[in-house]
Amino acid sequence: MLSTSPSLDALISEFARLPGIGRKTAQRLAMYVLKRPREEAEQMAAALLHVKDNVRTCSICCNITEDDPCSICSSTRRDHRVICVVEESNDVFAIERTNEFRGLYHVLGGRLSPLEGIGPDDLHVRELLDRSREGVDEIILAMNPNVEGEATTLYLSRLLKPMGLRITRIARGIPMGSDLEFTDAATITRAFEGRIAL
Amino acid sequence: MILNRLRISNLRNHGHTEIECPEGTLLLLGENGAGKTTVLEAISLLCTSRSFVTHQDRSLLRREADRYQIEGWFTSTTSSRRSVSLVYDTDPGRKQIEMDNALLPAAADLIGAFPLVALSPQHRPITAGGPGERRSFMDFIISQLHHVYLMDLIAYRRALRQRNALLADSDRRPADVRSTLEVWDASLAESAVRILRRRHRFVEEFVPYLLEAMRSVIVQREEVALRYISSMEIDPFAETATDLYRERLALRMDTDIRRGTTTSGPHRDELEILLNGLDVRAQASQGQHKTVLISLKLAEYRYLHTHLDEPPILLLDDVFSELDDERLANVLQLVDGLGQTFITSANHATLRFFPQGKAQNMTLRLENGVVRELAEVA
Ligand SMILES: [Zn+2]
Repeated sequence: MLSTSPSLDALISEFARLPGIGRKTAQRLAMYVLKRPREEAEQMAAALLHVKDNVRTCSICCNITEDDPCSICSSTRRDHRVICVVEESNDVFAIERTNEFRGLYHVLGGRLSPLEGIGPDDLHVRELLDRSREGVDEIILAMNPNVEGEATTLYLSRLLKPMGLRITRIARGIPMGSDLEFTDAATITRAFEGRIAL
Repeated sequence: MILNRLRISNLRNHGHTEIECPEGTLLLLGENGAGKTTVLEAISLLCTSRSFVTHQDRSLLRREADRYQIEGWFTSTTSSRRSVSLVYDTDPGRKQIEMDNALLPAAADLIGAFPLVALSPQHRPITAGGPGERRSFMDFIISQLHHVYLMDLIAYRRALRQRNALLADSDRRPADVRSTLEVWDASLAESAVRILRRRHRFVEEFVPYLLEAMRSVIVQREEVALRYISSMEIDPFAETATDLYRERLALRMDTDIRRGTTTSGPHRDELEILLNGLDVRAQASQGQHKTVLISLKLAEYRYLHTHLDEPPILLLDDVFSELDDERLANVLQLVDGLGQTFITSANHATLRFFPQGKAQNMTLRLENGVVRELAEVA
């Protein structure tokens, strides 16, 4: 459905391209932008370009950063002998929010998925192997708990084990604050598999 | 499980339909295209997130509508009140399901909470069609009982699609096949072994139910048997089954690479139905197909009822059109002893055999997606 303005149509198409945004939502967003003052649109446009111009990946951990190496990799207060491997930068934000993990990260940039044409060479695996060769004691694999995440975990553990490091994976189980009664059976089963002695 | 009230909006030719359902049998009469089956589809969607007619959500939309909604209010055997609301919107183009007013993360979470058995002309391929039809029949029963089984099936299919994609692309990415195939094999093996165990157990448990159902559907003696034929020759109950499974996969790697797909596993297995020692699919007569199908469904009903402690809801869609009066009366008699049942029929003779004088039964007439007339069968 085309409006009477090609410019508006173009904006709707751009929004509709974003993940999780359908046509209807794109129209709503475009109408919102149209109604707001010009300065707001300028700010948004500038922010989009700024991100593209200034954000790059850290040459050590492959996380997104504006300074290379990133603030985590260059921190002297963090434990450089422990690396937590995650799929995406978002996962780093999630773990950092806890303020618990004091080691470093490695962002793979995805997970194995032949369906999407993603093999080991499309991920930052080589970089991980390179930095694991010295000064590292433990590698924590923190992939998402789904089929692709599991496959990636297995792939990396087989690759890393011969290097004589301690390889661990994060536990899968019942989220804190939730009731057993309302937890799905698969999660409960996994939690039983991962039970620990007291 | 009893469905007390059903509300449908914009589903096929139904604009807005609301039905207060009887606890016994609801008979829906009407011409073809009147919207009888749609009521049953709506119930199936509520209980299983799927219609037994189509898997395309969009095709269920009423003309010119961009959103359909189905709501149901249930009472379980333990008298607890349950509710389900299912909404499909063309934007974002997927279903959203709320159970007891809480949004479900996945449609799979609904399976098993509202046990359901459906029999319609769409189920004929269970006895007459390819192995996939019988696997679905079996998988759906087990999934309603064991949520973990459903999770394993979903994981297996996902890993299978990934492995097949890798195999199909093996010419262009030979290095990836060498370095990652075993990872997908391990993932497949883990869920496949659990699936095989559960299927074997199911077949063993289900046979007595099928025998009993056959006996109540037909008078003459016919020997019915089930045989699970696995494409992967391993004993799934062996302690090392997962390792054996991986070894078998590895042995067939060359074949799989050449064919560009995974040639063995639970997705290639067959559940053979034998009648007097002969394969029903290839050898049975028309009449035998009907008898076996009705028996399978009756056995499904009783099996689920026993294992869930909750009588399933029974849907019988247009199953009477081809039955003679005697069989029709016989099936209605059988159904009368089961839980809540929804029946559609274009055949008004059905009414003659419909158990009379029961307050918990009700007849409705449908016309163009509208409930035209409400006649209590006194
Ligand atoms: Zn870094």
